[in-house]
Amino acid sequence: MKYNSLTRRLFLQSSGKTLLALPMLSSLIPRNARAQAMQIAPRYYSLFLPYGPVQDNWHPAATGMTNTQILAPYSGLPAYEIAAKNLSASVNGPSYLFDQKFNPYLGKMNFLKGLDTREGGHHYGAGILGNLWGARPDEYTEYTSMPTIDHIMAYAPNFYPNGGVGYIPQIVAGINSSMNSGEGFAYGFSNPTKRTGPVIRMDGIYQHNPKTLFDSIFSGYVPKPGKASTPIIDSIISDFKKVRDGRAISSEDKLALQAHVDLLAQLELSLNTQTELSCTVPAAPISLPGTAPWTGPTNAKLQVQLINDVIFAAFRCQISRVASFNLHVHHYSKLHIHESGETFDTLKVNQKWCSDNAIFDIVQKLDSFIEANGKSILDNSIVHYSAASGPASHSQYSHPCLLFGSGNGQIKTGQFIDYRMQNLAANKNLGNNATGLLQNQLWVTIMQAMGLSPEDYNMASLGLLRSVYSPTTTTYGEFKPLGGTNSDDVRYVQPQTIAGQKLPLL
Amino acid sequence: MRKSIRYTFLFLSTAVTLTYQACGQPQHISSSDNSSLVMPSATYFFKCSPDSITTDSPLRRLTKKEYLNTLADLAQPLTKVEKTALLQTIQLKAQLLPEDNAGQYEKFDSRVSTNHIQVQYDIASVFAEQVTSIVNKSIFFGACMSSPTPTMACVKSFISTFGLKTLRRPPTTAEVDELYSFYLNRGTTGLVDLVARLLLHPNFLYHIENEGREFSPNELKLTSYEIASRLSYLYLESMPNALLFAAAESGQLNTISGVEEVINQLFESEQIRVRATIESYVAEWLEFKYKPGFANTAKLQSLATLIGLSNVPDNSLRDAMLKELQDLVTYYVWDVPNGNFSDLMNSDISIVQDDQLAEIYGVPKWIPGQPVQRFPSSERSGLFTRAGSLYTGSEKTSPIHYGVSVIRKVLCDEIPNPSQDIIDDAARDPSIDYLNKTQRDIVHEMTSPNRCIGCHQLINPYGFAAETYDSFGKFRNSFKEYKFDENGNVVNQLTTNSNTEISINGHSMNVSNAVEMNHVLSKSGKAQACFVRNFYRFAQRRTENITDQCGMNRLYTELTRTEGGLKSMFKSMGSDISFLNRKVGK
Repeated sequence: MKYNSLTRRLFLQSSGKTLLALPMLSSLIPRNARAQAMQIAPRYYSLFLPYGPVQDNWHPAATGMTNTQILAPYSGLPAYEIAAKNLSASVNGPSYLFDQKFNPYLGKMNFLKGLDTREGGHHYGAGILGNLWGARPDEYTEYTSMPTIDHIMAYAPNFYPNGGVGYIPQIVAGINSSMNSGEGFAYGFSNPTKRTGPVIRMDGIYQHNPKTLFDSIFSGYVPKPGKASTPIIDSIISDFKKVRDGRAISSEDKLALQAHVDLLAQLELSLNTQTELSCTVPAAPISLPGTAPWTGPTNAKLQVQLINDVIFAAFRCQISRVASFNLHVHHYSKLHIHESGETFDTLKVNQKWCSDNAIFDIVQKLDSFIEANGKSILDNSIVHYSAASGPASHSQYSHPCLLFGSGNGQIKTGQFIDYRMQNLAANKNLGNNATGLLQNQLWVTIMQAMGLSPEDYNMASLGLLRSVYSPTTTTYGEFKPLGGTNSDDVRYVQPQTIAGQKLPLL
Repeated sequence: MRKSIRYTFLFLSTAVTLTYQACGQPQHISSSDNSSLVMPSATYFFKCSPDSITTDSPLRRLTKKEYLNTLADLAQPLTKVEKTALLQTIQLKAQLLPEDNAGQYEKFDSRVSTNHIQVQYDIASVFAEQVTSIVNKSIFFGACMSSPTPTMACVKSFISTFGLKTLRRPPTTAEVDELYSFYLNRGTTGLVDLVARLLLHPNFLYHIENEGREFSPNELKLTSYEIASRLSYLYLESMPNALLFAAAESGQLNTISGVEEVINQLFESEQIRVRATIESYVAEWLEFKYKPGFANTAKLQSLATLIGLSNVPDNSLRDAMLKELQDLVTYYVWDVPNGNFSDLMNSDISIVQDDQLAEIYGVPKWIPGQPVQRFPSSERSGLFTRAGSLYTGSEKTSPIHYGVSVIRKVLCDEIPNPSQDIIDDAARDPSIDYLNKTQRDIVHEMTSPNRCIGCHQLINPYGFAAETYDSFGKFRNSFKEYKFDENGNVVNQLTTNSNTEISINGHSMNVSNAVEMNHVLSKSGKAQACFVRNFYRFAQRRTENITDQCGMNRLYTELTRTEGGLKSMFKSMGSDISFLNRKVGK
């Protein structure tokens, strides 16, 4: 699919007019989905928590991790055992940062622990979406500057139908419009529609004012009502019943066929859940007084939640499938806790504020609207919440990750998964610094769940010179396997061959 | 039989007999039945009773592999670019399809979960959407379907042809009419929905065999299309090809001779795919999925250096080792005239094409088309003396794993798994001097307690015979065994040995190494019987029972033919009466 090489301004101006002609938005749904019932294209929402190391406050307790899996043998590795458990409700909720108000969403969540990246990691948050270079361009000169995964998805061929005309490919929002060098979050090609040109920080499309963000998406948008098509499952069930009730079928085989019918009926139920397909233009958000960044508990909360409102509306109307939201204000304000003189207790307060007011807010909103396939927008999305640092400032090990939603059934949910090698005592003794799996696998998992294939995201296809640290053509991003002569530890070496594979257990 | 092998009668004391029973030995053969190793006849293992010739065949669905192969075959008419795009999308979605692992073979797995239903639905949608979006629709749908308003005859013609491929039988007139009505009622999405519906039809997702003629209560003679489908999924792991559909239509598959003729044709015209199926069978029979990788430890690296490996062992070496086992089987089926089971067990040729593995074997890499390499005499004998059967992934050999593998995979005897506490206790035993004892002595000592010895007196001898090789499967002339500290420094060198006493068919005999042991096994008939059992299970998609004795008897006879027994056995499965009929359960 080719996009017109329009400037952003022209694109946004024309999008409103184009949207006028959109037939009830059904054309926004991929054709394969429209074929039967309404299959919904998954959406991606990323939120970045900038406030320092999360220590042990992020994840649930590691007790009862009885769902173990031995991974297929890797080059240079013995059997690699990872552990997981199903999330279950508790009085205080799954963890300190995600308290009891998250209990209703446990079945839609995945806590991931033990995802590592190479040096630099999430420094300033730049590595969360894949551009490790952006963490410290001055230091990591051997890295390649990569478009982040939100950008890669948004401009992947076939990601949007109709050549992308009428869509906002990606939404990039932030608390603050001004950032210091290295404080980027979302990066992309300077010529995104052609996927060419230097990779730049997406400051140009950063939106920090909810009203401006709203106008850029909904200006001139007039949806029309539509009608859902009827699923074909009833016909398939009928085919099964004919065989079930036909000749030469044993009672045991009848039960097997009936079990299939029952599962089909469940599917039909979810597909038949009729919902409004049209999108009512939401009310524009109020204008906040003053300029960004808005401070104080009231205005800061309002800014975050109004931005979430706009993203929710864009997802609901399926005008856009990708949004990235940076809660970053300024790097040194909170990240270097040891330099700022603050205590971890005060840091926890900031982190909790983000959990309570930012991530919980968007989760609630996305789960409140049921779509044509019988699932909520949250179910049909992948919400990705991550932080600048894991157990310690700028540590490259065990970056915190919390996912919500299954991307419309693309990943399993309801788990706490610890990807650190469980069966290798020498590794396990390293505690939070123990080797786990590569964060590259998370990026690949997300992009695949969103419908991308390796050709859409590997560095060779993107026309970027591959560095010595990314030797395969199926993966995305920079990585250097930890280990070898690394002065930190002598540790197990993560095999490069797995960097392009989907994360196990998801 | 080599002179060095000494035969003695096995004396089974009461105590040993009791231990054997506790270990679940299914078969006790009196020592008076055979006084020497003469290949037993088929009836020794399989007592055929003509009263019952078929066993209940439970309904099975397509395995994940069969399902994806079938979709790929259905996509054949598309252009290369279109087909590649479609199959890539399907592969992505299929990642959420559960693996088939409910039994010994993937084909035993008949479980269906919500994931199956959702993924099948998603894949059917994608497939239907993409084939209806191609530029030149006529290549998939037929020329007349390119019209925006195709005629009824045109649509029905497509339903008949695509229905034949998906239902694996011609749709009935009533079905064609009903599907045509469905197409009309779906309006603009009619064609997409029609394709999707057929890809979700029970006849597509399951091996439905309910239309045959009932020749005795609950026993059906399969229809020619059902036979075509069975043969296809047995030998191609996919839907019937044009040859099989034509044979079904012509009635050729209604006679055993006709079936045999078609199988012969398949083994020639579809050799690549049949080879791939036999490779799948080998991988499942020998349970490749449980084969370990190589540990990244200083000890293993040191051993690798000591034995002269140029590279750090990695997954590619593991893959090459396992591929060799598959290649050896298919080599004796296709590339050697008249290859037989004895070749498989005694072969001293090397067809290794991997540098690292050739290095381990100490032979030049084989170039296809050139004469095969041969191992130095007495170093290797067949499948179970190849690195893929011997390597452990660590610096230590594992006589226990090797012994269990021989018992389960070569002899089809049952050995229960020890409980975890037994394993833990043995691994922690502080009284064992690990650095000053050979692995063989350690295993002997570790398994000597009463609660272990019952099974291990059966297991260990087979494992000890393989101590001729190190943990990479490299032949060690001098029986040198290294001991390492945690940093990989050699702290001791010991000498092990592979002399042992094994028992087979009620006889016990001394063997000096695994080569001799495999010679014995290859003449026992028991290994042949086990090979037959395994392929029979693979083909029938279920475990065998007493009423399958006739079929296995016939396969055993074919396998033990002097010439060409291996290929003959594989072929005979498809024309066995037990394969062409079906008994419906109650």
